[in-house]
Amino acid sequence: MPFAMNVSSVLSALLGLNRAGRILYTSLFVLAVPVMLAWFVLLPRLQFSEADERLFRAARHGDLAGVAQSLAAGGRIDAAAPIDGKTAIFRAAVFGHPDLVSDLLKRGADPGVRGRDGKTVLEVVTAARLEERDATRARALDAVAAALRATESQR
Amino acid sequence: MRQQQVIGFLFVALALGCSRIETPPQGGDPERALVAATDLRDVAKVQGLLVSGADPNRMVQHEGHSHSAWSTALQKFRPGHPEQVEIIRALLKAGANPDAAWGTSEGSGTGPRARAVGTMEPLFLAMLHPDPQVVQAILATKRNAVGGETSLVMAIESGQTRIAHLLVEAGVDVNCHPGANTPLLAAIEARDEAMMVYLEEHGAREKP
Repeated sequence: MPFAMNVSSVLSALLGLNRAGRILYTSLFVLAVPVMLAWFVLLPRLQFSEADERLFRAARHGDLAGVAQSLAAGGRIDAAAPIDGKTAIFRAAVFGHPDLVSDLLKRGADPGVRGRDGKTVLEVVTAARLEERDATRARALDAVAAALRATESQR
Repeated sequence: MRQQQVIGFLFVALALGCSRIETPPQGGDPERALVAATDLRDVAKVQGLLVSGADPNRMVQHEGHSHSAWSTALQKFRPGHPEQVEIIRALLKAGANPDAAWGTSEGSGTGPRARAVGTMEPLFLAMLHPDPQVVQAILATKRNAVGGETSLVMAIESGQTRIAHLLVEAGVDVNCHPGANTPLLAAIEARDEAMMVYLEEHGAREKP
């Protein structure tokens, strides 16, 4: 009989029916907040290394050699920026560097990543293209969009 | 006995809390004339009233709302009016607070909360109709005036390069994170390459 009683008390705890169960579920709810915060905010910030920082800087400037160097130094190609959650390919794309965008895609960058605003690279570039009035920059953005669409159709 | 102690403690806490609420500075006739002259952009009259001791920080009723001359000058400012810049400089020289302007905010919508009397940040008000001269005047009075970080991000988002440079030169942190964006992210979203390079030169990073 003690065995059966144990089983029933564990069961009712798991269902949250007795005191132990209430304590269990309350602590789970309370702990969930800091855990989620650590997972989604703190961890990406901690993981973002100096090599990632250099990768992003090179991506913003369309610097192919710089990207190769920072990747060799341990930069992760799909590292998410700590604040907006976007990856290096976003930076290369918005500043109109089609060569670098193709290079990053060839190296295995994921074009389907969404930033914290929920948009993919192609969506961001399309939105930017709509408000671009300068002809040279518009052409660069078109080239970036073409490079992104090319990989999309390959998949 | 214990209940009395708790009530006593609450009372003390309430008194302490109330003492921290600033009472709105109310002005008299000199301030009323100063606000009117500021609204009319009458530089000579503003200067004359300031010399005779009118306080730019004190509020009076003007057009149905509480305003100080300082909040009026900032809220009514529109770029391309040198006399308004003159007035702002004169008010600052006469002791207008570079950290806070007492007045009624021009809130959007209707209802009792749309227009609230309180302090507003002069730098923030200056960014509503941005002009480098106004920002420069505030920063010349106090280098680290309240609201510099928000203003820097706003200036970059709206392409106000000169104002952004003024704020960075006044020592606003390029890696600040006042709202959703850092200055660098604002430059990236505005696709402002020159601003991005400028911020990088001053040490801006993805991970602030």
